[in-house]
Amino acid sequence: MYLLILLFPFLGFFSTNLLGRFIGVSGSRFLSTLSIVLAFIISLFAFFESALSGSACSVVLSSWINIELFTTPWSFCFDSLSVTMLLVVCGVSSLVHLYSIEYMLTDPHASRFMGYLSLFTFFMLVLVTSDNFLVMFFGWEGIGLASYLLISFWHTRIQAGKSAIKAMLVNRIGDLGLVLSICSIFLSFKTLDYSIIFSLASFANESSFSFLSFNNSDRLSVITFFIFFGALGKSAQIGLHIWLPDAMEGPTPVSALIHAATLVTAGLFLIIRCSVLFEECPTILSIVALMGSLTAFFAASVGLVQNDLKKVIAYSTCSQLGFMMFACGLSHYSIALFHLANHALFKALLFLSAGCVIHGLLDEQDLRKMGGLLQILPISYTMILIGSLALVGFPFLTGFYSKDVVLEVALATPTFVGNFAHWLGCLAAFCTSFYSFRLIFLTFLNNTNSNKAYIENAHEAPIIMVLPLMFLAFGSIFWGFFSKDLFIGVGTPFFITSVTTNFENLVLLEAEFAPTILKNIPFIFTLLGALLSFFLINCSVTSKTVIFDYKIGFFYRSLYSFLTKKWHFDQLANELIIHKLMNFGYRISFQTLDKGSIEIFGPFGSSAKLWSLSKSLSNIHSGMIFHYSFVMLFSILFLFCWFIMFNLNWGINSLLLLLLFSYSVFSID
Amino acid sequence: MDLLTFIIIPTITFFIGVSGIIFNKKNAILILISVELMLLAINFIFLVSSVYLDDRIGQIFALLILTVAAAESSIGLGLLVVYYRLQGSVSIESINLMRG
Repeated sequence: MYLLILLFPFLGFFSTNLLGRFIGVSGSRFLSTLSIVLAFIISLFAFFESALSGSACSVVLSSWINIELFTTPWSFCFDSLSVTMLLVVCGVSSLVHLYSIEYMLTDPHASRFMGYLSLFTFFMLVLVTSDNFLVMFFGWEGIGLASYLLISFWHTRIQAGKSAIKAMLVNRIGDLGLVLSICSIFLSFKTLDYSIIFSLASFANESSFSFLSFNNSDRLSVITFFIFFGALGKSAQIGLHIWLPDAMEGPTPVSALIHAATLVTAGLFLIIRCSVLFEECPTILSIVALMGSLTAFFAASVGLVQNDLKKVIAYSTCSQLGFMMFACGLSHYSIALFHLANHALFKALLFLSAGCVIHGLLDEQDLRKMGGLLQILPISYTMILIGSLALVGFPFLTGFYSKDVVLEVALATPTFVGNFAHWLGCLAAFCTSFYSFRLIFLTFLNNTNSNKAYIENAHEAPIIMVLPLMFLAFGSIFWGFFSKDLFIGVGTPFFITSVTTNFENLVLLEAEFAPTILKNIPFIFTLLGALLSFFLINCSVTSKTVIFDYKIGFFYRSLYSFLTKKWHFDQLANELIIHKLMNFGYRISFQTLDKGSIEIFGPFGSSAKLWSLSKSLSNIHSGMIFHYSFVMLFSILFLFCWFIMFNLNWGINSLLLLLLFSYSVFSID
Repeated sequence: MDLLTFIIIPTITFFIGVSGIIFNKKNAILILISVELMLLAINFIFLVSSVYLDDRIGQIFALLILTVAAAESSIGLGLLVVYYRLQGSVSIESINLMRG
């Protein structure tokens, strides 16, 4: 039964992409959606059995690689971590499939699209249910491939192709780290099996090994650092985040599926899965927490000024991933997973309802050309409002139960890292609420800036697009409350088999009993953010001229350009790394080496030299009799002199004479 | 007159023949004459050394070379006549059809 969860999405992909010509577009839509829904239903059973009833199970499908020590089967484990991810992935994916039926109705390649969605789901399921690092890596690379195919789905658009390449390449940088970590894991443990590695982890602590010619590197630190580096790329943390906002070039359901709920969570999932290893390396954990909190703040601040409806949500995803990452870095993996599940719900909701707005407005994505849609699109408004309130952590919605816990844990961690993460997280919460409400104001509440034609044709999405939104909105409101005790309740045995936290790192109780006034800081920040966006946007309410003067002032303009240029990260990456590498690739390795010295000393140069030598040799044959007779005489004289020199023991000189002779012969033109 | 004189004179004659071949760029008949001159010089050396060594073989070779030289000049003149019929001149500057 468990393998059916993997089999159904694969069949969905197989039937739609390989047999799509025979079953038709509507057949593809129906089959792929049905397969994912079936997988979701089965994963509900799996959730009941593995997570709720606490009987984790492992399924060995077949053997894959079998060489002496290196035995890696196709094996899948279904513990509480896996099945939670299964629920998230299958749930969001089936809703996105359902949504895409209508959203991609007029697209000529809809059947290919549905197949790619199923393919992505399949690889993601392989990733989360794998029982060893190699199968995990198979899924990891698979979702990279599927994200490439989905981002460049409209492959005739140059921007989509470039974004897909960017996503693929930036992810490959992280994947390199993951490969290195897998190599070092095998070097250390002689196996890639999760259970063996995790049970041996504490024995490997504080032992050193030689890796990549670095002697005496700390074993577990190297492993976890490279795992984190892999997660850095996939989960779009600061530094390697540059692909995520550009990946919005794909269709909106793609953004909802792979850039909100699933693909970017793969890196986090890996860190949560390897919690045993990370717990042994406090240094790496601090790095994870610092990078996560930086990402949370950075992405949220860039999100403030984005004018593209989808990019706002993309940066919010990046920021929320930072939240999860620093929850991991503070050793609270279950909270990170809880936030991951919740975030999947409300981010998919936000993306899909943004898709409704875009769909209703003839594919207009610019926030500045929207406004006043409240009367026209009330359902989308409600959905975005619910999603945004859940996102900013409004009390008693889903986001509140995970996001505020993340911040409380950071507050209760008595280290510099904890403090840093807490304050950056609070600032990020401030920015999150600012841009969420800015989005709502600019799209729905303000006076309209749209064209008349857009507004006249604006319409609410049909029921098949709204239905997934209903489910997601329901989840965004209630899921956090319902599952709070299961995931992060005091002493919950939910993750006892899959996630480990050292007890000295555990500050859940301190967080629970922290002073109320400190716990309210994020909420106050959130309220402040919402109010500020209200005042800045609705100039009519406050004094128009004051805010206008402020907006055109030096400080605001420089801040604005700093934020619109994304903290200059793209610029830095382009100018310092990409252009340098491209230049190196063209000037040095291509022009100087490949087409230069290697060709000159290689076949091209030697054949050209031989050609010119033979030309000059054959030039001696002028056809003139007196030339021939001169050559005869000269040669005889030369041989005569040469032999005389030999007899006088002038070895070197006679060789020089020979060289001179050959040079003069070959340089005759 | 000692032996050296009898050796040097044909040697000089031989190199005159050689330079006649090398430096002559006009007339093909001059080449034939130069070849004859070279053969004559060699013949002379054969005869001189035959007398000096008091050996008959040199004179036999000299006679043979005479016949060979006669045959060679007749064939060479025949080739020149054929060439003249084709080309209308015997200038060796125009004999360059077999360029490399």
